[in-house]
Formats: sequence, C-alpha cells, structure tokens
Amino acid sequence: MNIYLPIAEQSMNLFLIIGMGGGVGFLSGMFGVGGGFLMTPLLIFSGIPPAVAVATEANQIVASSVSGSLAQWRRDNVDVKMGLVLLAGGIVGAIAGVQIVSWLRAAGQVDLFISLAYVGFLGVIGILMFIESTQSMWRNSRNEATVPARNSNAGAWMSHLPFRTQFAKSKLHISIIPPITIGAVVGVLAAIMGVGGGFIMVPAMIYLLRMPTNVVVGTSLFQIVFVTALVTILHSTQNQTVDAVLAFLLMAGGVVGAQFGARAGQYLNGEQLRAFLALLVLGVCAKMAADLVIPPSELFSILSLQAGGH
Amino acid sequence: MRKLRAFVLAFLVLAIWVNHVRAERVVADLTSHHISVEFDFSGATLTLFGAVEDTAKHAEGKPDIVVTIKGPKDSVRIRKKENFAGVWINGPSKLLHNLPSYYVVISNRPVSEITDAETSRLLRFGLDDVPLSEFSGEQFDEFASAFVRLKKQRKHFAASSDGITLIGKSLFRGELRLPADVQTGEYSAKVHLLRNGKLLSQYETNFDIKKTGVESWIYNTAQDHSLVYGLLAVLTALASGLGASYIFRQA
Repeated sequence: MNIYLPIAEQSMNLFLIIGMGGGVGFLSGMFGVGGGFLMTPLLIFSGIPPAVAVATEANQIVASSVSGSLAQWRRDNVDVKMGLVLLAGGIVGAIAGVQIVSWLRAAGQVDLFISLAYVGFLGVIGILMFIESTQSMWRNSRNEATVPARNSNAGAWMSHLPFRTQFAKSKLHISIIPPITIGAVVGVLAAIMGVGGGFIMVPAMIYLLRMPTNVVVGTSLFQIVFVTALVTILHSTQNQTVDAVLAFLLMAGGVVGAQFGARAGQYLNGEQLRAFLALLVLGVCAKMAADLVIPPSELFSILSLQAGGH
Repeated sequence: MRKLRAFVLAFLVLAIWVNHVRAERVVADLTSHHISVEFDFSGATLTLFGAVEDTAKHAEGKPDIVVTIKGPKDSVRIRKKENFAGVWINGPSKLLHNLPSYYVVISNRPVSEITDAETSRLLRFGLDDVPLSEFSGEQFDEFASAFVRLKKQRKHFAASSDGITLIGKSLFRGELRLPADVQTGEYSAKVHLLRNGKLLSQYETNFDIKKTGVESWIYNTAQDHSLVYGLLAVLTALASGLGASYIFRQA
C-alpha cells in the first residue's frame, strides 16, 4: 500500500516507511543511541530528497528522545543548568545550521554537503567505535581490567577560560564557553544532518567537560529534545522541508521498535553489539562515499521551481 | 459537469445515426475532469472517449486520432554533475522557463505512419523538440535534451502509438496514465482527427489535478502557515513519544 508524502511529493510504500522506523528504532533501543545517523541516510538511499530527510528526521528525534528525557528527569539525572547552557549554544548552532542549509539549497549543493558531512562523521565515529569495541573484546578475553584512561590534566586548559560558573549537579566549576561551544556544534549537526548529536555530545561531556556519568545521558537528552524541536520549527519556516506524514510514520515504527530493541539489548554482549553497530555505521558511510565517487549513470538532474523547493 | 457529459453522450449517439453533409468533426470527453491527490494517491488513469461526426459520406478507410495532453507550465533548474577532485558535484546549471510539466501524445498508430514530418512538427506530435521549442524558444542544447530524457524516464513525457483504440468507423477510446509525481494544476487534452495525413478537425477538453483532503491541508499549512506547521509537527512528536512510552509502561 502506497502513501503520498505531501512535502517530499512522492508516493512511497507505507510498510517500508514504518519498517525502516521500526528497524532503526530497534537498533537505537538496543544500543541506546538516537538513530538519526542511520535513519537520515536510509531515507536518502530510498529516494527522499536529502534536505527533506534531514528536516523530517529532526522531527522524529523529538519523539524518540522525549520519553527517555522524561525518564531521566524523573530519576533526577538532568543537570538543568548545564542543559540550559548547552541549549543556549544549541540554539545558535541550530539557527546557523538551518541558514547554511538554506544557502546551500539555493546554490544546489545541499545534497553534496549532507553526504560529505555524513561520510566524514560516520567514518570517524565508525572507526573509533570499532577500535574501542575490538580492544575491549581483546582485553576481556585476556581478563584484563578495563580502566578507561582518564588523563587528569585533560581539563587543565579549561581553567584559564573566563565566565566560570558553578554547576552544582555536575560538581563542576568551569567556564561556560566549552559547553556553549559543544552545544553549538551539536546544534549545527542537528540542523544539517538530522541527528540528535548524542554521539558527539556524550563523549564531549565525559572527556572534555568531565561531567559525572550519571548526569551525562539525561542532560544530553534534555538538550536534544529542545534543539531538535527548534530545528524542526526552523526548517518548517525557512525551508518547508519537514514532511509531517513521513515523520509521523517513522515515529510510529520507531517508538515501538525502540521498546523491543531495549529489551533485546539486555540479553546481548555489549562489546559485540558495539562492534556490530560500528560495522553498520561504516557500511552506511561506505555507501554514501561510493555514491559520491562512482560516476553517476545520469549526470543531469531537474528541479521544479513550481513545486517544492527553489 | 453531469449536464456536459449527458450532452456529449447525446452527441455520440447522434454521431452514429445522423448523416449530415458537413465536413468531418471530432468530439471527445474524459471520464473525469477533476483528479484528487489524496493520502493514498499513487497515480491515476483517465479514460478519454470520442466520436467522429459526419463520417458516412467520406468513409474511405479508418480515421486517425492523435491526442496531445499538456500539463501546467513549470520553470525548472537543470543541473549537470561534474567531477571535482574525484567527487561528483553539481556543476553548471540552466534555468528554463515555461516548460510543460507534462506532455503525452497518444494515437491509434505510430504518428510517423499517420502523417508527414512537417504536419507532425506543426501539430506538436513529437516529443524531442516540440515542447521546448514551443514554450521557451531556448536553444536545444544538452540541458534541454537532458530535460526531455529525464521527463521521459519519469513518464511525464511519453508517446504511445496504441493508446487510442478505434471502435468501428467513428468511435474511439483512449487511456491516459498519470504517474504519482505529476504536478498539480490545469491540464488540457487536444484531440486531432486526421485522414490521409490531413488534419480535419480538433477538439479540446480540460481537466485539473488538485491536492485535496488531508494532503491539501498539510501542504497548504506547510507553505502558508509554516510556523503553525512546525509547532504542530513538534507537538505531534512530543505526544507520540510520550504516548508510546506510557502505553509500553502499562503493558
């Protein structure tokens, strides 16, 4: 059964959309990741214009992160002050990111830009995850203790920055410049890649800001809900690229898939799961890269100025 | 509309029975003049039917029918990819105005058998040069030919030499397939009656394609009230995320 997507302006199989939402939702529930970095490429591979894929996926992430965010809030795992500082950066980043997408659309280079961003980020993250998970598998097989190497001097440079303030919940007294910067980077990524940005923010919070791990996930989810909501609104008003029908179907599949994924994840080996996710990320990266370098069978493309974008 | 259809039907009956001395004329109508793009829209098929009037006096063999269907005009940007440092990126582009978004020619046999090249060109029966030279006056360069090629791939431009079926000496029927991604707007179908390669009569009828129902509401809200649209999209996401986790906690 096909359904007509009013903004993407094409007809697509209903069960394929819900299935993609469910499949990525399952993986994201299993791995505890947002899933945007898998969903956006999948949408692009299935023929949705990249600008629509990105904006629509930002809308879906609002749905997939709000329940987790609320659960963390109830468990008192959100550093609200840190979340608001990150969000301040996120707002600036989101506005800038949506503006960049607008300019690139007008210049006809938005598809290329989104693909390049994905190839770069997925490549780096996939390789890092793969190395990390295989190393920890190796260590486990030799019964070595897994002590994360936390360089005690890593944060020294930050103490020289101005605008220091107290983050009670994180037990930190640091400048607001690093968290604002991290928030801004994540905001830009949300706007141009349709991702929540947890995969950047969580490591940055742990290794750069050195926040206690118990508040990291809750605080990042808190920021993600607001930033992706803002990105959705900005893409709607500035680019008209949010397809509400597509987003809703992805949400329907995604929220259900995530519940089952979370249950399945409890019975599986963590390192092997991460190695598998790393391979998946590298696979998507390779496909994106291949589409950029393989000579296309059709060099020309047409864009109607009447319908849809400009 | 019902009146018109009854009128045309009456005409068809007349066409079979009445035998005037006037020249041959063609009349036709479509089964529907309004096509709605709704949430389950996956293209549409229109049936065209018609008759040749006053045929008895001339009846030397069968008449030929060629129908050209033209969609609303569109401006398009055509882009060409170029290799830049190993990566294929969008390079030069060209903006073409007033091109038909849809152009389909259906006939009862190949147009080349029906009439000579000159008549065919004048009546816009061909696909390769006709729509562009008619509407834009642009040079027929690689961008223009890419436009036609891509439109053909999407079945927005097509020629079908068996799209019209002749029934007896004076009746005919045709089928028109509209793909799911056709542009909304006004369409016209021009019916040509030819005999021995000569144009005897023309008849034009119209139809429109409109987004209706939920599709239309969503599309119009997104275009005209984009802030409301964005807020609603966010609210929907919040509600479905929270709703789902509530349901799963109950279960």
